[in-house]
Amino acid sequence: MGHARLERQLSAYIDNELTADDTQQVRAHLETCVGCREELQRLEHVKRLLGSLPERAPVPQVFEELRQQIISQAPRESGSVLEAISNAFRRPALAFAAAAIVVLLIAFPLVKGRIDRLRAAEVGPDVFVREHALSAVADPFADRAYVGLLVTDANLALIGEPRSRGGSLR
Amino acid sequence: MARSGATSFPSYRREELEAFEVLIQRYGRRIYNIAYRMAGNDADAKDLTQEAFIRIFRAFRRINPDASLESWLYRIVSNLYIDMLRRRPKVRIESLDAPVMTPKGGEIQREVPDERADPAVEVLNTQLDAGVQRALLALSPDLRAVVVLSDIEGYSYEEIGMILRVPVGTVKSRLHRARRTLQDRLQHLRPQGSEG
Repeated sequence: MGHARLERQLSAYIDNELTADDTQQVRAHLETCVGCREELQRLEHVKRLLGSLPERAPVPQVFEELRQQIISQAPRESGSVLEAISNAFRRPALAFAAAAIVVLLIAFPLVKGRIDRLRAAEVGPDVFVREHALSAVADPFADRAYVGLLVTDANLALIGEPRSRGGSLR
Repeated sequence: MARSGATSFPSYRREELEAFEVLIQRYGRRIYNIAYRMAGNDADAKDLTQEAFIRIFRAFRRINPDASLESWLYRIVSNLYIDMLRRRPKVRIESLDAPVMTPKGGEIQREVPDERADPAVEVLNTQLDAGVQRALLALSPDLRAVVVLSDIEGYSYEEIGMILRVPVGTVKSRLHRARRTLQDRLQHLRPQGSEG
């Protein structure tokens, strides 16, 4: 190692952070180099000065305020909206549950509306048949027994009886 | 019993609050000291210390209980300090203890009321402290963090590397640069006779 490189090792030499080999080299260099011996003294002086600094006593309210903050401040309330969103992503189960609720809220009216329309389409013909059968009773030549059957069948269908029962009569 | 605890502290369980108290007791003073040496004044040291602990507490449920909270706390403090400098680059951070420079190059000490029992006894120490602190503040935050952790707090290069997440070689070169700079600024504090 050259002089400049050895000089850069002096701090680590003071701190005993060099390998045994490097320590030997620095020590040997110090024997012969006055400049490095002086530099070593100056560096040691700096280290001593810093080490002799008294511990700074905390201002009294530091930890008292901290305890107050911990107790009063819910960690989730303290953040912004963005933080809340990023928090949600840190809890995948919660995020999934929220997404599922949103999907359900949107899908439920759609599906239910479709089912209602299908059901209305299904009962529609029965209402039509019944109304016409009832008006047909006014016709003197109408087959009253058949009209009666049609009306009964339509009524059964409208109150939800299975179609197969009366179906064979039609 | 547990229920009443849960309602008055909606966010933290009782055993968590106890764990926090242990952390404050164990690391509070050291964290404050590091924050003070980094920032150079009590107001910022207080904010940095409180913020560092609050971050640890917020993350408390997510962190590995075996993780070294100590090095994490120190890393948070130094990162918070660097963040703080970025947020307000125009603000000059000044210690009340630091002398005021006059235009002619002289120094005036601020008169701050001192509530200690016998301030006169500590004057010498205070002056030395202020001189060293001023020299520390003249370093870049990177160099300052390394020298504070090494020479004031006594950590090894490897520990500092872990705290600041830099290689040991970087710790070594930063520390050497920091001491070289400090030694120029602290020449006037060298004992008489040891010059040369």
